[in-house]
Amino acid sequence: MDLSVCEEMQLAQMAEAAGEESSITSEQVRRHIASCENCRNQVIQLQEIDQLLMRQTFGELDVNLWTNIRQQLTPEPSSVGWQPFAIVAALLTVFKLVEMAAGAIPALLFNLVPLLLMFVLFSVIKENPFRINSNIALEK
Amino acid sequence: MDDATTIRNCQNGDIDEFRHLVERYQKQAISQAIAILGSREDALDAVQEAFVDAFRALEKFDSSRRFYPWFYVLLRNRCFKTATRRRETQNVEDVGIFEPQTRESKEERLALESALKELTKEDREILILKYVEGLSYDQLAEQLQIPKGTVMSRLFHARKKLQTKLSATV
Repeated sequence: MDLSVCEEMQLAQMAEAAGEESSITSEQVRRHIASCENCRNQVIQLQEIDQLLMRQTFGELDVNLWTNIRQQLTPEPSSVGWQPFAIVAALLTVFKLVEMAAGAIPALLFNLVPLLLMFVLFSVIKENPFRINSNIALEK
Repeated sequence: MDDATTIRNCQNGDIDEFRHLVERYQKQAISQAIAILGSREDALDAVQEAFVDAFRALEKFDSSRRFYPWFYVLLRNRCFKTATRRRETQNVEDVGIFEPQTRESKEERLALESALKELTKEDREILILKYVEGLSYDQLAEQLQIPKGTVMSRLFHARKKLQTKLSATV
């Protein structure tokens, strides 16, 4: 018997066993399987595999993923403490006192010291001072 | 509360409403991710990432559609990425897929799991979705986004391959 015909019949038998419709009638399938030993053996073996699969379960999947998922849905609050800001404030104060005590007009590079301190601060706390926070939502 | 209402609330900015969808579908998602990946641990990671993907894509989701088939596409993509990453970085340990049942069926369960892990993830997926999860051909067609005739054909060939693998272990 031609293999493609056997495959069609076995496929139709599979559908029938699953309660699904097929283009081949039950009677045609039954007649073919009765006359084809290869298909008969195949159907028996494949049905055993189907039964083996249907006996399996995943067991109780007692997990709740919500807590982990929720954390990923919103950005974490910054873990930066007050120390970097306090250090920069102290350094700026020292800078100002030095500037006042010097009396004379300071060099250009000296005037860049506050900018440098702010750059170091934002680098340490890993923040972009120009970033717009798009996560802000209006309270209802 | 139905899915459509939950989704509309999420789209209006209520993040915590998403919890209802997670709790409603997580078990189904985990078992179906196990079907693809053959690993519980990888499945949990993939499901979490898929829910996060779904939340981020929710604003474009048409709430008149069914949520889970849409979500399954995202889950499937995550599982395939996880499978690719796993193949590139490590060997898969022999971790069980199914719940151990009776002592007498342990050998056949182990043989089945071993054979399933040798199949492609697509073959493993369709077999487990059909025979373990009990989905109909129509549900498989909707979830996998393939015609019903293709479902039947893939299922038929997947069973044959599993049969070959199981015969080789006997």
